[in-house]
Amino acid sequence: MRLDLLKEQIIALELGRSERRVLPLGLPAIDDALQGGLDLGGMHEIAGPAAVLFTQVVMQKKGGVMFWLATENSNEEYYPHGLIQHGGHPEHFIIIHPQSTRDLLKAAYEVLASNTAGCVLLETEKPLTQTDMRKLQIAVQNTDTLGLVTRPDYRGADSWKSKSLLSSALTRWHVVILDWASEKTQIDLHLTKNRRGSPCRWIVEIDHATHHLHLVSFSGE
Amino acid sequence: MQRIICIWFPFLESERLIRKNPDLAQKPFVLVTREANRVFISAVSEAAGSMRFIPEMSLVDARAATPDILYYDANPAQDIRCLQGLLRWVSRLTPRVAREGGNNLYLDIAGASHLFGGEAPLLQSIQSQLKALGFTAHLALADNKAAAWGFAHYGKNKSNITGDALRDASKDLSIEALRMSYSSTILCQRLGLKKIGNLLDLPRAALAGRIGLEDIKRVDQFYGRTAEATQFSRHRERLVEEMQFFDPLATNAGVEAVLDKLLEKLCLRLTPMQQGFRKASLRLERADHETLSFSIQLTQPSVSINTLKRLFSYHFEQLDVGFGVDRMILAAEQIAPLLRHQLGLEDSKRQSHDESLSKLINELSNMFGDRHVRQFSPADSHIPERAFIRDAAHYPTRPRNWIRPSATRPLRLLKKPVSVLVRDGRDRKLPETIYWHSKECHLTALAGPERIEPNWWRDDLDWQSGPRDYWWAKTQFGIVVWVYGVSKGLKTQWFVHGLGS
Repeated sequence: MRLDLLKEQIIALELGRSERRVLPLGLPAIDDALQGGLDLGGMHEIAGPAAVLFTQVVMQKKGGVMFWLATENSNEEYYPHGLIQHGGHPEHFIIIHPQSTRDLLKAAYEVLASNTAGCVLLETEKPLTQTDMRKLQIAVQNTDTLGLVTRPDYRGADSWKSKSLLSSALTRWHVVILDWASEKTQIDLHLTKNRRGSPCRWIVEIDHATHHLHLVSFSGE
Repeated sequence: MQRIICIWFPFLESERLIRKNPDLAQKPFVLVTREANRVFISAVSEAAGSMRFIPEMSLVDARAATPDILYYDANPAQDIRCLQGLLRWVSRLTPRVAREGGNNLYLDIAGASHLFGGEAPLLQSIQSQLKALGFTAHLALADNKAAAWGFAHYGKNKSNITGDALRDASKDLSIEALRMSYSSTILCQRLGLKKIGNLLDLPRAALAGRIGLEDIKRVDQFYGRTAEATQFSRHRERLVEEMQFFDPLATNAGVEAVLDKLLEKLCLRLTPMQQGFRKASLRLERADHETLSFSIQLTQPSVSINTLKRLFSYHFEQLDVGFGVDRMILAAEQIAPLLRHQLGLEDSKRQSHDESLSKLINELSNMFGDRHVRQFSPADSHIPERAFIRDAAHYPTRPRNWIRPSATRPLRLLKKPVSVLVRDGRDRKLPETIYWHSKECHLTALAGPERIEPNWWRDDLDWQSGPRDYWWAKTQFGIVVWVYGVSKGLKTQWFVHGLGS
């Protein structure tokens, strides 16, 4: 009990605030591994082919106004009707497409620091540097905003190993789709970096009607 | 009681040109308008007028009479602007000024003439000052608009008619001064009623039977028996503040300090009007005659100096004052009523959140431009990429009603569908292998096909190849794609259009 309390205090000190606020994902197994859930006021990295799907699950759980920041030349864009089917709200979805990565980061600081956004999803073609991530982390701390970073990725299941693991994100996820049906999708959720505990791996089902997560199997690392 | 001066500019169009090009003053020239194949004279200069050229005459006739007559194209828009300028000029004499039909200005000088030494000196000074500006003017002063118009056009120049004298003075005026309809005027002239005096002796009932009630009303208006509405131009305050400097401002800090002052001045003017900035622009004139201009836009009208300054300061990052700034002009391009909400106790938190959100969007839009900060709006179409539009997030939101699509739609759409190579695109069934992102992907069909037909009434370049069959498929890398095939002759081409599920 005392130990838990001390742990909480350390985390709070790290985040520079008196109390830690989290977003529980609604699955005890995952929430325990994260000591309660995803930290609000922190940056999280989500990668892998199914990153878009998993970010949507997280964003839908968080609610609030959603900001999507990506550079202008990307061919991909969010599709509002798809968002609705995944429990999103297109009317609370704001797209920011600056012309350069520099402007993108500038916009990201503004949005993260303003504490008005529910989630901020940052999408860059090139991985962000350690410095940039750290700056974003400083901007977002002390707010209730959930900062997400993702990267378009078509390479598949093993690509995360080749990438540099240096990043100041609080958690890093690698997500792959295993099975897909109109009512539910099975994903392989790999927590590759975890500031609050050890890396883990789960197989999880997303229910498309209720947008809840169900645990299929657990495989520790 | 009204005292109306009518100023008529008989040669406004030509005198406008002479003002620009004084050499024309001595030469007779005409202005022409083209209508279908006809070219006719729309206005003449004073010199040409004395040579019996009149408007409505065709140019061919005019040139037959005087082969070397000069002619120019008429520019009605410029004429109106010129008249507007004159309207502004006369508005210093009285606040009630109007411009109505033709080259006429009306001034209501009731209660204002004593400032200029009485009515007769006022008329004299208007005429002589207009002459100095290069405009010939015919003026008349009367108790109502109709009479003033009549005397300005057909009476003695500068005639000053007071109430009782109107009947006597108008006796010898041509019947055309009454502004009756063309047919009635012609009718009266044919009957020998050339002067207004002839008309006045006739019994009213008989006259009404002949010329109709509408034209009787004209006569009544002339004698002030029926009132006539005048649309006096509304005085619009220009919301502009400027400052000039004897010593040019050489630093950005100086420019910012002056901007502060300008904003303060303009906000002080706007606050009593209960108005706030919606759009504002700032012009900096540099010592080397270069002009820099910046503009900002706001979602919510505001008079907060800090907010406005912050928005401008984003532009100041690339500000180059060069040899210094001579002059700064701040203008409120668009204003809107300030909305003041009463804060409820329970939703004050939500309200302050909304406020800070709109402030954030505002700042982002001003930093990166409207078209980089956007929001989805629904559109009515069954074609996937046309079922939504992206609006500037900046504009006040309108109600957005989203219709839930019947079939599964992707989370991400590709703006431009990516064509993928297939090994054998022979039939319309989903291919087993595609080459995408320079990799071989094995597809497993998950759902489909869903046929989407193009809008036949629309010539859509992307949909020229006919209906599309959409499939959901999974690659061996764990990506779910939304692909479609279109038939082209015997072959079927495949495209990836969406990602995720």
